Amino acid sequence: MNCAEAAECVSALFDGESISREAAAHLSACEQCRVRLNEYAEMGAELRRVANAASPQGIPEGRWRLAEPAAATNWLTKWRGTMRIPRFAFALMVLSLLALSTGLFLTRAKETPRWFQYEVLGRDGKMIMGGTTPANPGGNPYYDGGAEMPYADGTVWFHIRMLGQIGETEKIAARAGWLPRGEKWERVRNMPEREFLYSPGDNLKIPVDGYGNLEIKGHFESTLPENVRMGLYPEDGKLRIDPPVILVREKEMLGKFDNGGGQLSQDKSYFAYGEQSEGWYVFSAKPIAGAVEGTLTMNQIEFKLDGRQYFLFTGDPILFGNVKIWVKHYASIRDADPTSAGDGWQENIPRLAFGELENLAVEK
Amino acid sequence: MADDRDQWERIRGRDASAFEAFYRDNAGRLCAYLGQIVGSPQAAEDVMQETFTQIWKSPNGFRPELGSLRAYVFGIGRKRAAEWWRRQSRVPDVRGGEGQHESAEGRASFSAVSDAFSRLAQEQRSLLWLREVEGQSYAELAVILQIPLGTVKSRLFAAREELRRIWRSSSDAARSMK
Repeated sequence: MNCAEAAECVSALFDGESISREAAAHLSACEQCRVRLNEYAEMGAELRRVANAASPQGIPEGRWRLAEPAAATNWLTKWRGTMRIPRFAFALMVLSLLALSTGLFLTRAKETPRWFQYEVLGRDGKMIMGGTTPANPGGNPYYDGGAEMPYADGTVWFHIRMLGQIGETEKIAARAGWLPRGEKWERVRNMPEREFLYSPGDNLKIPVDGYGNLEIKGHFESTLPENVRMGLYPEDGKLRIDPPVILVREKEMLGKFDNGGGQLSQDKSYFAYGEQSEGWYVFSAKPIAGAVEGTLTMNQIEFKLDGRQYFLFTGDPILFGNVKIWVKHYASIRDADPTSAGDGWQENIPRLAFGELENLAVEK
Repeated sequence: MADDRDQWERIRGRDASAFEAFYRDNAGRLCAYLGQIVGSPQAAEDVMQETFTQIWKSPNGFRPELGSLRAYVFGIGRKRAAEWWRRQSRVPDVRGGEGQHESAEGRASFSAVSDAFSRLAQEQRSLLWLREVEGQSYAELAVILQIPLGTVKSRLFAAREELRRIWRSSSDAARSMK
């Protein structure tokens, strides 16, 4: 092998690539090739030095923030470039489609999305919560959503809020964390908020370390969705707790819970309202051992405990009509239900908890 | 690579904070690289911004098995730079042409090697920059430049030899003037 034949191998060797034994033997003995290798090294070092000296002093603000993630592509432009069928035939087809759907287009053109309706799904694909908010809620915490979903190995917690509509997307802020069983809440509660842009039709994945993904699916509506408008009352056999939830003792308001909520089975589930200073009040439409009996009428629960009168009011009817309800006070929700997410208080803000009656310790 | 996958999943999931981190990690280096292709710093920044905007708007196409996320963004940047040149309606690859001289301007340092580098064909500058400055592997270069692995090797050799030839001839010329 001569130098001309080995020259390309010098370049490869310089890059740390493997070369043939024959080339290696030549390079080890050839002064000319050694000079070439040294010059490559010198050139490389000089280029890196120049690059460092010329590197930007600061990184400019990213203009990507101004861009709307666009699922839709400019189909007309693509059509011009990639048409493979006779264009007059395609044009006729488009005109026919337009004629068929003109009414729809005219109607939709006047619509302005005002509402964003969404569901949050867990890692198993099951819905954890759903909600409807204005597309631009203006920072009103009433429309924030949040939940804790217990699993056998821990609890996933999240808090989401809609920041507003951007083009055809909804900007969503989310904090979410995974709490393995036995760990304390502080780490999870202090998770930083992350922002996402959600395009209706997609599944927005919110990665949660240790858990997997939460998923959000949603869509815009120009008018208040029927299930909200007509859904003043929950389905038969269900109780529904919607904020604000206010607990009153005698004439004193003990606290007000503003975001979140849920729907539960009237026969199998309980809900609880808690405050750090008050402990937890567990409510069930089925008898609980040691509980006091109260009444539930539309959006109001009334009961008497330790000789004092209590009222719990909710933002919407808990059910249509009235039923008996059982209430029991616990210092800790975990005293009542070991499977519950626990007492992760944050500045004594009231909380709600939901669970299954079969998990209540008093039932066993 | 696992980190790249995770970061990409977050970007695909419209995680703006993940994209911001991705941008911070790569924008400066991409801008420097694009400067070698398009010539002026302003044009390089424009193309860099277009590159990130394109990825944010349509996060598709990254295949971790083919290379790193950085190689992917450099590949897109290179394509956007080619489009930029087409929009300028002029041929980028003329040795000693307008683009090359502009790229040499504004640099903090001038040396015989950088002068020789500025005289290389745009494709050769691009290739050498990615290899020497960005440290891209042969496999990543093949993805970015969309050429076979063997071609990466031969083109790198050709670019180095050309750079060496210009560098040496300019050094000889400088010596003869003294």
